[in-house]
Amino acid sequence: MKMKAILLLGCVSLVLSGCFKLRGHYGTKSYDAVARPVNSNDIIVPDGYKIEALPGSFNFPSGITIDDSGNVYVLEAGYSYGEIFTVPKLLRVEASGKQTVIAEGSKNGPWTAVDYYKGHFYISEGGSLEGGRILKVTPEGKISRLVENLPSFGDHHTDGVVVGDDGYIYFGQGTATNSAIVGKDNFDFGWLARKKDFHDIPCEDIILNGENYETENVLSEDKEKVQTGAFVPFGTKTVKGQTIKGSLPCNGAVMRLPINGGNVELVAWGFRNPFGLAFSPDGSLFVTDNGFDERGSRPVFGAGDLLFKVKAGTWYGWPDFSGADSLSGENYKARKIRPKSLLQKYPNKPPAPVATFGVHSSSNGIDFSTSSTFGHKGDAFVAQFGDMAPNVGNIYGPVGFKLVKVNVETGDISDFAVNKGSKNGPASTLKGGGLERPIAVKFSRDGNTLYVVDFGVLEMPEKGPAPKQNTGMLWKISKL
Amino acid sequence: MKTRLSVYLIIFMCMGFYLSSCSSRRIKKDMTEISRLDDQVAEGRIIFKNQCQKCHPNGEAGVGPSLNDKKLPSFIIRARIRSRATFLWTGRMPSFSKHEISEKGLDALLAYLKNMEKKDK
Ligand code: HEC
Repeated sequence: MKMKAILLLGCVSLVLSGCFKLRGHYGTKSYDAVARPVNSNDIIVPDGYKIEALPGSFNFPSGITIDDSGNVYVLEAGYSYGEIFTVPKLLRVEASGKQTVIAEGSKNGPWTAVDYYKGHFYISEGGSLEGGRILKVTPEGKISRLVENLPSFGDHHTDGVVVGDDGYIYFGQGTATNSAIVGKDNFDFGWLARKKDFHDIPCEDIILNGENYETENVLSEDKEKVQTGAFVPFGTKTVKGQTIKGSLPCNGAVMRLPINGGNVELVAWGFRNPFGLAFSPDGSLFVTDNGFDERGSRPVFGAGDLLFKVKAGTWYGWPDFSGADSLSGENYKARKIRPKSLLQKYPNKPPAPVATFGVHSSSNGIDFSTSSTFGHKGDAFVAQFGDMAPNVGNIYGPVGFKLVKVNVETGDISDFAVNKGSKNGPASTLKGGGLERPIAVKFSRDGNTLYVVDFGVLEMPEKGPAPKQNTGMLWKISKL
Repeated sequence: MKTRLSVYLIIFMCMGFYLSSCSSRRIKKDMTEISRLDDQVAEGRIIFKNQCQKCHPNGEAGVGPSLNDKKLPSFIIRARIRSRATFLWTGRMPSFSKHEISEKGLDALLAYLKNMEKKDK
């Protein structure tokens, strides 16, 4: 018996000390622009396709759209994790690389997505300082607010926007927190010090189990212990059976409003960060949802990013499920804490996702192929920003940093544009000239060209995310 | 006798685990269209994408270690998929019951994993 124990110990330490190296912090805490070598030969695409870099650079680009004449427009976010504020911009981009400013926003980024529809642009304004908004922009650059005060002060913002053929603007609204408990991780993000009372708002009434989590009081000098429950401000306790009133607009939801403005309506809820929205060729709405992180007061291990087909009126499981899986089993247990169920009753059985992406891959922008010339008609193309490890959890190797293709019938995911080499990762760590952090994708009007927005370099030094200014760019994929 | 056997088993698995974790051969990225795979491998691929992909994306490292650059004996992989006990409960990888992955599904999954190794060039 003793022998076995010694052997076991030896084995464990051998393995741990050996080649299983977890990814640590990297890079420097500076926002200054860095040189970004660009070489499309460092990227593999499937046989029969080519990828090219378009000239010009962008400052934290996040979205893309195309007008009726085929002009390409890129959105610059004006904010990045790491708490850097710049000017959000909508730019028209010519093939020569020439950029023309169409509209500029205020210090309330990030502008996360844009859609062009019948002569106007619709932009989701992340709203980290003044709340989220959906903006309508004329081709001359006149901005009007269709809705404001969306609950967007937290970890995740007002996200993906797409106009449906029904004349409604659909958009995502991310949650304030990782898993419904405001904690030290939100203080580290930067927003909790600004918005001490902010927390997640459910879309409908919910009844709590009264789970509370103890942390030090990051908002006081004394750092005394405080307890925080779900869907309440930092330092507020909840009790079993307590009802939290639902209201609109809410967090972790896909909502919609009429194209000319009006009341916000709920489409579906129980998402975490519904970042990318797109209609499939048959008119169904799909959403990419960034899964839980292993961070904060209620960390969750091993939750993938998910692709859902949106069914109106449905609850999709946050904060107690990852897809159809309950977090309370063995599989989602973080190092020390098992995520207990926060809600006493569920609105419905959460639906299974259409596909499950890499844990921490940050699967974001999405579009569908509609062209038999380009091929893969009906498949979804998803831009993976790439992990922000180790802050989001430990990993053995970089996840994401590429473009993937998804068969939405089978959930089959395959790489479509990925950096060459034996290891995965962003170009800057592979020392190549390929993809850095793809964040949005869009097919041209004829469907024959796929544009990929690359956010640029974002490193993860110990002091928190360090995005590098003006390292963003645009790629173009087409059939040979 | 029984203890002796389990000691050998531990040493054996331990070495396998260690050695497998050290290889760093070049990988060809997996861009094969599923229609080009034979039926069993294709079935295994769908199971992999739905059950394993999130931690071993396309066989590469992620929340779990890479699988496409090493050759673990099939019986160890089978055992690990079915039970956490295989690596002595040291790991974080979930186990999968027959309800989640059938025996036939497991055969297909193994065929897919073997095919993934062949990608290795
Ligand atoms: C929630 C994440 C997760 C899922 C899902 C998962 N794995 Fe793993 N896997 C791991 C981790 C982590 C390890 C490292 C050992 C451990 O901690 O258990 C691992 C180890 C392995 C190993 C041993 C690799 C080595 O280098 O020795 C194999 C083989 C494997 N997994 C195959 C699979 C297959 C096949 C599936 C799908 C049926 C799967 N895994 C699903 C996380 C996961």
